[in-house]
Amino acid sequence: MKRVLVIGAGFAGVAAAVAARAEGAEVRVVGTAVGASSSWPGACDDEPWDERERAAGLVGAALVMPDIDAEERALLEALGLHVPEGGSPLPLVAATSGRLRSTLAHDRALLDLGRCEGRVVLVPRASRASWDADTLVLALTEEAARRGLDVELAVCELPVLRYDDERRAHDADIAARHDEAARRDWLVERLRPGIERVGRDQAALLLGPWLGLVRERASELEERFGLPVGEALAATASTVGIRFEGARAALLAREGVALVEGKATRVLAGGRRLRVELAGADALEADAVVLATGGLAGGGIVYQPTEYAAGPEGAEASRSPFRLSLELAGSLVAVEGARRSVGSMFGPDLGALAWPRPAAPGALERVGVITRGTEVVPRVHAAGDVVAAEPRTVLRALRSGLAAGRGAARSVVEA
Amino acid sequence: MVIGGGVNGVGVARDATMRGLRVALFERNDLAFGASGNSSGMIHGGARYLVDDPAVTETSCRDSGHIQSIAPHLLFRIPFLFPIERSSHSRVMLTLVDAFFQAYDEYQPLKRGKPHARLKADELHQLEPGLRGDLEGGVSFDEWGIDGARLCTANALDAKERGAKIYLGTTIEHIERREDGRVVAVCYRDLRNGRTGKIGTSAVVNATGAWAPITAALSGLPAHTARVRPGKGIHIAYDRRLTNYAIAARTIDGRQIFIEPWQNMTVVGTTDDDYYGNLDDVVANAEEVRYLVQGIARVFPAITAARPIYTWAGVRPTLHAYGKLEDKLSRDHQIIDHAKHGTRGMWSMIGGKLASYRLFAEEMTDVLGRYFGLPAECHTHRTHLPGGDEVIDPFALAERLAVDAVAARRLVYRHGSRARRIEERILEAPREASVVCPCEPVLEAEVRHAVVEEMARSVDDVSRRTRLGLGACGGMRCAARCGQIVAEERGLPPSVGRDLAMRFLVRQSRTRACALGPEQARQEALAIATMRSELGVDAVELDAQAESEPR
Repeated sequence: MKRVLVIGAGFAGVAAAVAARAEGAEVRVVGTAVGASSSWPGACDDEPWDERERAAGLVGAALVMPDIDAEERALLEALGLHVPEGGSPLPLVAATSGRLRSTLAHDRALLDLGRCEGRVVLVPRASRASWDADTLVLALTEEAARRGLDVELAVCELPVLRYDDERRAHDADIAARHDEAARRDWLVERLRPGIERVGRDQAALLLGPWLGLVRERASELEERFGLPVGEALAATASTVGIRFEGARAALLAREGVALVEGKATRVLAGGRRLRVELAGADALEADAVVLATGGLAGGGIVYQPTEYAAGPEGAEASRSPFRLSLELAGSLVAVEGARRSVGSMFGPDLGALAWPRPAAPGALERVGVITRGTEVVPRVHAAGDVVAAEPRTVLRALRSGLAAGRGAARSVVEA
Repeated sequence: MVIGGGVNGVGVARDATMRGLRVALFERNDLAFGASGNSSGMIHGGARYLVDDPAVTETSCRDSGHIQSIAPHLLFRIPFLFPIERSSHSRVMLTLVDAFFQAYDEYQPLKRGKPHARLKADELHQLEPGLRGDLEGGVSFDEWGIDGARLCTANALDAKERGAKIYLGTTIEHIERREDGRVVAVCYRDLRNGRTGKIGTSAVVNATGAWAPITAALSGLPAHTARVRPGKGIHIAYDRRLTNYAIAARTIDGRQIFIEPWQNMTVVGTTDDDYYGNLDDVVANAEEVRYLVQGIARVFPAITAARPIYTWAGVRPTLHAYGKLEDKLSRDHQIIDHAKHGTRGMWSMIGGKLASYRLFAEEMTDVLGRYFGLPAECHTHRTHLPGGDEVIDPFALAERLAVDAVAARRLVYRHGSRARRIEERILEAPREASVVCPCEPVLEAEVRHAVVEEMARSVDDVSRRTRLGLGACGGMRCAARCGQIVAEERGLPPSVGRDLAMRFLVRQSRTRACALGPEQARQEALAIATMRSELGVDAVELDAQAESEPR
């Protein structure tokens, strides 16, 4: 049986594993602790959402769900996302920063304000640095009006924090407490009178990213209250990422894919089989490898300027300061816009490259490995953010993961 | 009429108001936007100038002492180490340096500084274990740190409370003269809404620092009548205090630079290069950062592994001289009376230092006093700045407000006894005790106070006054909320608040980019991804706005 090894356990890695499995390969996934997927905010797009909305605005098109592939849909749903039917209006989720944004698919716990038309969305006050109900309501009200969305947002004095430490605790800690049935009972009991004052048919409830870690608890609360309940999207250190990890484990187990904890340090392509060396563990062998280690944010691409750890007189030689986080002979890492210019003996001028410029994304977003199709070097395929010049979105990662998984599995047959 | 909201401008506005003049101050950007808010954060005695300019050292020390007594809450001690590398002449060098600081000790009592000490190499290593290199020995000496933006804010507040009118974000477009050359009015334009106006005046003080020649030209004079030698200086801020002492080091071209523990972070500075670029948008570049880091790494190698969190840059309005190296330029100040150029009732303040701003302002106001025939004397060195009159116990405050002791301590540092006003806000609306910026930390009440009382109009302004968003996360956790609060207090729609937040985040990101190391590059990529997913920046629009509405 042909063996495929996937390095990286984010969206791209999981997709690659599933696709390679469907091709009949024996698949193992090697993953380290945290990458970009483990901290993803919960909204899934193909193009960056602001670009999609701008493009739609230019041609006056409505924001509707495109038809997506059945395989992609099944995978998204298996990973705990809600995926609207093709042709239906795009969900609108509220960010804790006060922005209302459209998304193609989203973590099931996030509240789709598009579903709350004609309702009063209650936003309870909570004394937390990351949750300011008053400014959130002001900002979202303006956003809803701008989109012509018929929802009213209202601050309310409903108790959502139970213990004093929850004023400072991490979102994830509060989320974990909502995995306990007793805590949910407490919440339902405490909130019910306030909600009934507004009327069950007229209300909806928007909370912080606090609704469960083991799995999302929003739908259960929704059933018990009989109205839409959900979380706001928090972009930094969201609990959604932790739920992703749970869903991933379940999916890989179901598919019969082994998840190996470890960090790959080198891919050797010498013999009949590829050899993947791990830090502090035995090397693994495979017929093909999928590289899904993430971009700069996820840790798959490393920035290592020449002056770093150089002698007291500075750097001695110039080379590209970006490289893969593991050794892979023949791979080439590119910085879009600076592909050829190593600006000085210290590397490119990050000051000029880092931040997205008008009409061009920043280098830090686009740096990655160069591929032909999905192939980096023979029998090694790449997917997700590690690939150069691709937008860093979940759906793109998933798509390239499926393609790379298939490509890797088939490359064995071809060989 | 005072033009310029830097430390000289607000200093004159305060002094002149105290002496009974009717004052209006115009600032094109924000208080402390230029050199005053982008300095090394010290009111040092200028030991550097002792050889070429001993008078500057003396005035710096004397006035530094005055600032201490009128705003004690804003000062903190920065002990310095001056190590000397071993070389063929290092022993002679050490003796010379020792003698030099012996001379400097004469001035130390003026600013309540401690005398220097001569140290052996092992003593240096004991005091500062991070110190490396083959050292002959060194000396210690004593300086004072200050938050320049707070100093400006305090002066501006005092002037305002005594009746001065302060117009921020308002540029002067023209200075009108009568036929006989006497100044009669200034025409201004509010850069936010484009509104223009004209105010009659009989005296104009040009305190615009590096902008001075541009301002002088507005009255029809040639720009060289208020000539400065603009010298750009950059600083790099690192997360946390990395050293116990500030350490002096030398760059590859032999310039004196330093690493200092400053407030809750570490600062490396500074460069001094002639600058010919846009004064409204001065940023450090990678080249300057590398030059400084290389110099510091020779004595403190751990710097290369430390985490830079942002950089800042300013342009010094040094006295003009042709042919001198930047470091050799005089740090003295000078008042130019434009009567000799045919404009009566207009003066330009050139040069000066943070440490002697008060004296410079006094000299300028003396000129105004003579011009108007006022008998009133200067009291600025005897009258407390807002918040300087009383010592507040931060621990008691923390208990009363049920906030973190650190938050209370930082609040008291910035506001002195004015922390009480923020306390009153919280007693009235307990929800305002919530933390907006967890890094610094900054409470919601302080953000609102900055907008309502301290004339902040944007997230950048709030950041300048409270250090919000200048911590390790670069504003990721607080800018959006701060923007909403600013918009709400100003009665503007939340979308404006979001734009203000984005502008701050983009600007901060730009100042970080040139100093990124391996770990920071990864974090920066995460920050960009975060902003994209939550706020969704339209970089094009943002740039266009920045042009029409400079801040």
